[in-house]
Amino acid sequence: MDEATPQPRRFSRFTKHVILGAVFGGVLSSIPVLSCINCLFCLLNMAGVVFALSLYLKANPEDTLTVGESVGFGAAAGAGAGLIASIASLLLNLMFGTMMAAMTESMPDVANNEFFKSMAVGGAMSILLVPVYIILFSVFGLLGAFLGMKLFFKTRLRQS
Amino acid sequence: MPSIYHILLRLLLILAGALPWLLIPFGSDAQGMRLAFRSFCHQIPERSLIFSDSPMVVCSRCAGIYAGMAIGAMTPRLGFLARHGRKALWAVLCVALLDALIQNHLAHSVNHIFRITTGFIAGWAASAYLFSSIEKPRKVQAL
Repeated sequence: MDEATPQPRRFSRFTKHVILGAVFGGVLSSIPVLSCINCLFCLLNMAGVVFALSLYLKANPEDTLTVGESVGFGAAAGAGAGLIASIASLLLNLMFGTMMAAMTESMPDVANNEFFKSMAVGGAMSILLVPVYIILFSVFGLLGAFLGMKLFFKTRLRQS
Repeated sequence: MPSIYHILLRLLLILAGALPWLLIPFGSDAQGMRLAFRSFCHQIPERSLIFSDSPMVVCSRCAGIYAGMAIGAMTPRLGFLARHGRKALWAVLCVALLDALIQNHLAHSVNHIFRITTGFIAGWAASAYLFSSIEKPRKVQAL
């Protein structure tokens, strides 16, 4: 192949950094103490995606992205972050539920039944919320990637 | 003609932006859904809009952002935003940040009108700028 021929740019080149963005966004958003940072523009998920994007751009100084590619990057990383956050939320619910169940053993049966009923509803709800988490995280992820490219990495944007 | 991906993207943003508002009629029955929005918003009741004695699943600034995002996704491509969107976005983000700083640290009471307005403008600008950037201008045919 001629050296001057441009190489095809595949979306798979982002895989590693999309996973990194998903982990950053998902883990950061799952830490309850950090939720105070969410006071403006749902920042944590976006920050995770922009951080992963910056790592990608630093690792590939020759590469440039179109707006569409950056949006795809953000949506994929956001969806992954949503999946991680929903699993973390489910695990936290189970963990606290188990602790609470151990504490309520001494309570009367009626209160116990109510507690376990509410735990079951909470657990089922956590599973039902997985697609909602994925939609919301991917929307904020794609907005984060778009804004990150436009505001901070403008020189690395190319026309499609 | 916008591509199918752009239409799907618009629908996704409209769906996500409308979600907290669609949950208002469910009131306190939407407690489970509060869990989904916990990762995006502090959900402090004093800073949230109250409908039928029940706070929204997000605070008033986030409610504005979500509404702006949905309306921005319904907005057709704007040439002004395609050209000057970056400056406009910095401006609205600075205004929203300034309002957040003032209301969190200086003001004695929560002003929902300012919170919703600054949130709405930021959400709308981000969403409308996105579509103004990815969609190409329509070619006007000469008569």
